[in-house]
Amino acid sequence: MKLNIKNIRNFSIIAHIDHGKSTLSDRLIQLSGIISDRDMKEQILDSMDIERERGITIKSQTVSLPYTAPDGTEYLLNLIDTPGHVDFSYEVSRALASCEGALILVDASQGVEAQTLANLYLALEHNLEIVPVVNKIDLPSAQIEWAKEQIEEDLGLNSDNALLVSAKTGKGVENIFPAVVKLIPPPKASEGDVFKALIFDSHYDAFRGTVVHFRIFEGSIKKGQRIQFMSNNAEYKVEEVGLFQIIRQPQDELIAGQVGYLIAGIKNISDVKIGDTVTMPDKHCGKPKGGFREPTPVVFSSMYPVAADDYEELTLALEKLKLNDASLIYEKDSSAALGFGYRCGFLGLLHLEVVQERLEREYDVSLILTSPSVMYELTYTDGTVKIIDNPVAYPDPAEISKVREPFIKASIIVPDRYMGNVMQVCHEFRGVSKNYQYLTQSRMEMKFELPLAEVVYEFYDRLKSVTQGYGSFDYEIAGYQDTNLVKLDFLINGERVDALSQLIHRDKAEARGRTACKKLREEIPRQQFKIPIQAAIGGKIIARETISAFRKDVTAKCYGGDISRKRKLLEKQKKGKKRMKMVGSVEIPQSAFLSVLKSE
Amino acid sequence: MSDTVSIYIHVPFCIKKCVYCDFYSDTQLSFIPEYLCSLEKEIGLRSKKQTDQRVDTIYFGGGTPSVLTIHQVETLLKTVQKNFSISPDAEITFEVNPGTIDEHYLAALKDIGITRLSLGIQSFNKEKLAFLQRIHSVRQGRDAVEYARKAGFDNISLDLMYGLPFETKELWHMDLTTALQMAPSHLSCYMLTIEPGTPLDEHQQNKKFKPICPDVLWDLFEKTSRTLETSGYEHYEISNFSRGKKNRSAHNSGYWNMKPYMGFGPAAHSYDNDIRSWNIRDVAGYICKLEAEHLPVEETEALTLDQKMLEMIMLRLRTLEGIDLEDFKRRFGITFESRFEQVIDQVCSASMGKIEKGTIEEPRFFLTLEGKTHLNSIVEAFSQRLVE
Repeated sequence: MKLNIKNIRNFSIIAHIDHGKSTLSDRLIQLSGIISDRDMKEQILDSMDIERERGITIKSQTVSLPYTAPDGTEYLLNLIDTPGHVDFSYEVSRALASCEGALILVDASQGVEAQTLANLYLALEHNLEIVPVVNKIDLPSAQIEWAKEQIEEDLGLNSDNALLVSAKTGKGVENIFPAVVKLIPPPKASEGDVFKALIFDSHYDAFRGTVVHFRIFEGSIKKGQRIQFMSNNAEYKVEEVGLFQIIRQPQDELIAGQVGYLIAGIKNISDVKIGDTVTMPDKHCGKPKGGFREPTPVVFSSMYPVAADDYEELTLALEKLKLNDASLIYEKDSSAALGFGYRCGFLGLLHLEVVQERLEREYDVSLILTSPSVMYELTYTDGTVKIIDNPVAYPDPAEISKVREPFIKASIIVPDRYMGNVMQVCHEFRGVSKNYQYLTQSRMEMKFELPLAEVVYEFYDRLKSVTQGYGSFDYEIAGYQDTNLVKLDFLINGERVDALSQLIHRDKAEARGRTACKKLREEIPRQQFKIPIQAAIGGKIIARETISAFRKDVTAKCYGGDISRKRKLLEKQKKGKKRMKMVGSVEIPQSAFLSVLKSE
Repeated sequence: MSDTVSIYIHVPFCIKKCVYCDFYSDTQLSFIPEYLCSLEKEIGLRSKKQTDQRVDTIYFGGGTPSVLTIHQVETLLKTVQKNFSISPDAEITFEVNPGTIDEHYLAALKDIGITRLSLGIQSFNKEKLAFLQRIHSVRQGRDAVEYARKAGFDNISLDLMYGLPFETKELWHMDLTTALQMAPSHLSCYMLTIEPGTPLDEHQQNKKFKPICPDVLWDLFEKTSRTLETSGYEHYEISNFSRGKKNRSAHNSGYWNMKPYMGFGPAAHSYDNDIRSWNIRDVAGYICKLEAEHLPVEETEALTLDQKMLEMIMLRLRTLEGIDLEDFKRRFGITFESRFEQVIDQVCSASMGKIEKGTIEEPRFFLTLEGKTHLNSIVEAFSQRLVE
């Protein structure tokens, strides 16, 4: 039977971390019967380790769920998973652009939270139909009526339609498919003479090349047809189209309104850009789907292998990782302290951490990262203008006449009781309040201009904490402004370690220097001599700590049966030094380099 | 080298495991008779290989040796005496859990030839005993000391423990004073150590309690040393104190002096100046092996010269006398001072250690009280030098 467009639904699930999105997705997959219970791996949609551990989705995955209504009508419900972090808000927006509706998940015991709001607004921007779902109703702490009130008041949605479920026990989950069919409209799409589809994600398959995840808006697509990517006019011949049902299910044809994948022997993943429009040379759609944006790295950091002979491995690992993560950019770099490495660009700090973890975990390379930096614009006394993103490239201040740094326009949505806290945090991070407005009686949107460098550091974490998770945050790059920049150096045992240098606003330098020295003192193990740790701007020392040679620690019992074990422990400690980097005469562990990246 | 040897007998049975303990023991007391048969077999098998080294200390440890009946202890001791040549003035120590004994039991131990008792008192405070999940009461602890005296033991050691999460200076002071009133010849004062894999470790990870603040703990360590020294005890090892040299534990001193020892029973370790070996850590496995007339050895390691050096430093720095520089040179053919010049300087300049070249005593390197609190990282520093 040919699928009718009326019987397709495309939807996402919007939820705050921990509100049970993955569990609910698993339930829906189970309910659809596309996978046997036995094969059901917990939380199928979040398959990467890091995602599971942190409870966030980074790479979105999509699944097509068959559903037969009580009247016998067969539907295909496409669940499009969305990443859940501000670094990936562009990916979210592309995924939402492929949907007609969204389930908004609210934890019955915790109520509406920040991220829910942020994504809700994104969803509303895309004119999605929203279906509220109250989850975790099995918890003893569940307050269903209160959650419903929040749905009315904080989200401004009608709570009469709210579904009450427990994704964990499965209670009420069976009502979701009928609600999706009833409340979310079928895709508006035409099967005309042109072909137009949106790329909302991609991944790399070692055997088949890049697998494009897309949503068709106009026309249909079959094996053998030629396609064209509109951002770069690259053309390919389609080898296979199909649906995601945990595994790829090849289909003869995909039609307008459908969500699925295409494989076209694309070896060059940089041809495939999220948000790009796919068309066909002979069925050209003329105008691309709006909203395409090249992913732009905003944070830069250098990566060095802990063991110098791992450089080749790091090179290979980055090449492989790049195939899966098009937004990662990198180039060769070298440091006096750390040897050869790569300068990399990231979408944000979380992206940086994810890349680092993937390189270490999946490719088994131990890394040292340098302090992340944004791109600064330097005007030299001779009038030349240069952009730098690496503290190492920072010239003698006497040669600079002006420095400008990138700012963002931030939009923060919070319940008004947090207004004071938000103002304070923004001020702390050198932000300037632009305006604010009430969205409802108790919820407001505050607009700020903030230096990107501050946002990159830890603004987001602080904002979450002072708004108890209720503050949602979105931003766009808003050009350069003058700044008072200094280069903060760190000296360990009198030697400047270039990999620890940071570019920072003068007003922040001293506090940062002090915290970083403290952290380095904690992280660098005792050596056989006293080690001074100093922070300096130019020749001036602004903070100092000392690591003494010994610390208090004594084994209380050591008798006949303990001796071998204790000796082996000492012998093992020597081997544990592999993840250390010798800088001058001091061994610095990888963790010390990481510790200065964060103040908490 | 040394022509005497020590014997350790491990009695791996307990009525209940204490939360902090990571020594090997089993609560299935029904294994005891079979275990004793196997033990006898092990002693017999190993004595045949033994040359005519004299045994000058015997130590019954556990576990809880006092779960054995007097008859069982007597038979065991006789087996040892039959198989080895024991010095007439040998120190024979027996570990006692105050919750398992009465007046008669201790009197009988004295009669069969035990010369020294080590009483697992841990504390005279009810809350502390409850936290440690000891099976005995404060009263039973006090009684045990009294019974030991009545039985005629003059070499009595009390085990005490401090540094529990809720421990205060006052609480520990009370324990120490109570112990001092009993005037034992020997005291072992242990800082509570949370060993990985113990129930205590698990409780800590589940945040059931917050460990004691380190500053308070170090304060207690130093106070213990000062209080006991003023009361006439010498602080002769990190956790051990005795009234004069003659009341030191000769058996345990053997470990810290790299003297050879033979351990019998599950998990027991042996050392013969070159090789260390240890038995299977499991009663059932131990019994099976011996039933098949095999030695129940789990692993054997031959120590390299560097390993011996590391062990010597690790063990001797625990003691009052420290490292005997002449002995070091004799054993390793190099002087301690030249081998570890940098570390020694470092330790001495921090007032944590001293080199003493007196005219009467042998020249030696030892740690000050301040150095003892830093023992592990000082040993680590020596250890690092060894690999370079």
